[in-house]
Amino acid sequence: MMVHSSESRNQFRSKQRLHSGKMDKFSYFVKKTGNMAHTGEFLITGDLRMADIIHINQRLLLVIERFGISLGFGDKSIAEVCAKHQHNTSFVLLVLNVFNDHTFSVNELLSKEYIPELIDYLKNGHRYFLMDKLPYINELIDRFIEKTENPDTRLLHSFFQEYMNEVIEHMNLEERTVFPYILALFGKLTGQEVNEELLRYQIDDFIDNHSNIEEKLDDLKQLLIKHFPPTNDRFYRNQILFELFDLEYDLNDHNGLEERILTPIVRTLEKEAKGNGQN
Amino acid sequence: MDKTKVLVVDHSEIIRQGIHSILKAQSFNYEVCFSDNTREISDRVRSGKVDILLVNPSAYFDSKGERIKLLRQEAINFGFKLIALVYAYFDEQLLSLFDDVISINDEEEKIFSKLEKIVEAGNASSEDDENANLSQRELDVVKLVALGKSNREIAEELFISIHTVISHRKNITSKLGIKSVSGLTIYAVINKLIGTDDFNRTV
Repeated sequence: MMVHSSESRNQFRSKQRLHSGKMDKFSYFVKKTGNMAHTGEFLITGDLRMADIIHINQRLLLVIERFGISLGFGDKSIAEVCAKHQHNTSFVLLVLNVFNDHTFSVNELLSKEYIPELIDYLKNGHRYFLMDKLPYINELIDRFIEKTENPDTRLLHSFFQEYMNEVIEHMNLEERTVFPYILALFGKLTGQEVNEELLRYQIDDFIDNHSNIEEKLDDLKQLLIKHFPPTNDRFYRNQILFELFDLEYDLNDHNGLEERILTPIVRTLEKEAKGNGQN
Repeated sequence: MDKTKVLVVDHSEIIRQGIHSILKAQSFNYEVCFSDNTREISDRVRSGKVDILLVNPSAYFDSKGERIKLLRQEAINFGFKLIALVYAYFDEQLLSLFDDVISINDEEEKIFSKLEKIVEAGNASSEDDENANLSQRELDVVKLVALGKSNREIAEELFISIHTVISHRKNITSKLGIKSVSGLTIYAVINKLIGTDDFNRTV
């Protein structure tokens, strides 16, 4: 987990509210933001139609997917969809808003009740990266190698394998140690029986950075953009780059969630646990 | 591979056709165009559509060789090679402005090998250009990093201090935008600093 002072940079900004009933306002936003990946200019509220927010910011598809919500929700509002899937609407809204607007201020919205759902959400994110996204990019790289006639491109295969292994290792570490620790801490504070052995950590023990992983991703982009000579195949080379930029953006969002939501909540839990211990 | 475009400048149709049939017989990737019109020649070299200008110096001759010097300048500016096609005596100094000289008495094989040498030299220099932003020392360091050597080993091998190795590595990273050792290794393979086998050994 990477910890920044991102919260301190956040300020409350005047948000414009969007109401699902007012299509004129909605079309105004669509017109204004077009197909941009992130808009960050409006507050997502439970009364909005789920379908509408995806038209405004298609990256929210990733969030909805990680909540296990399938497309095909018709005209249901976010609150209705959450109720159907038994999700806590305020937590879903928090995540949607953080993804939609990177300056969205979370300070007053954090609650320790979110912990189990948050961990589930992060695990689903890991599953997406490890089972879908990385294998897909790997496949594109293999297609590129096959299509292009430059034997040097074969090196990309081993480079990407190495990168994948680092990501797998990092995410596995979180699932094996960090998440169980957090769940145990949460369990203890909510009066459950927990394995005390798991409680010997502190969230700060896990705060490292993702720098190795980011470094390799960046190198791969540089190699494809700048250093490999022109190749016969341009289509897959471009596709790989699109996917790498997308992956980078998505990983940043994922890490942002850990930094801005998970870590602060866990710190509060740790303080609380310490307070209980003293009493 | 792209065709090497040779533009032949000579007054004589017999010579031009002769050159054409020699290159054609070698069945290589050459494309020969002819021109007598110096204006047209200028336009073509400026558009970058010429790799080799095979020119009879007498077509550009003036007493001080000024026009040949201008041609030499254009060859540098627009990145083509200049070869003299001679069948009369020309001053050594004038001929020194050309990358090579082909004599009308040269054997077919010799003509061809001269052209080939020029083409290869051209390819090699364009590779150099790709690396132009790395100094020779930095290339040495990239190579050793790619071979999996530690900073200490690199320092010993190049007879420089570890501190210097580190500063070379910083410069390399900022010039290439590549940070990881595996990334630098791929860079080294692409630029033929190390072989593919070396890559497989390091990674």
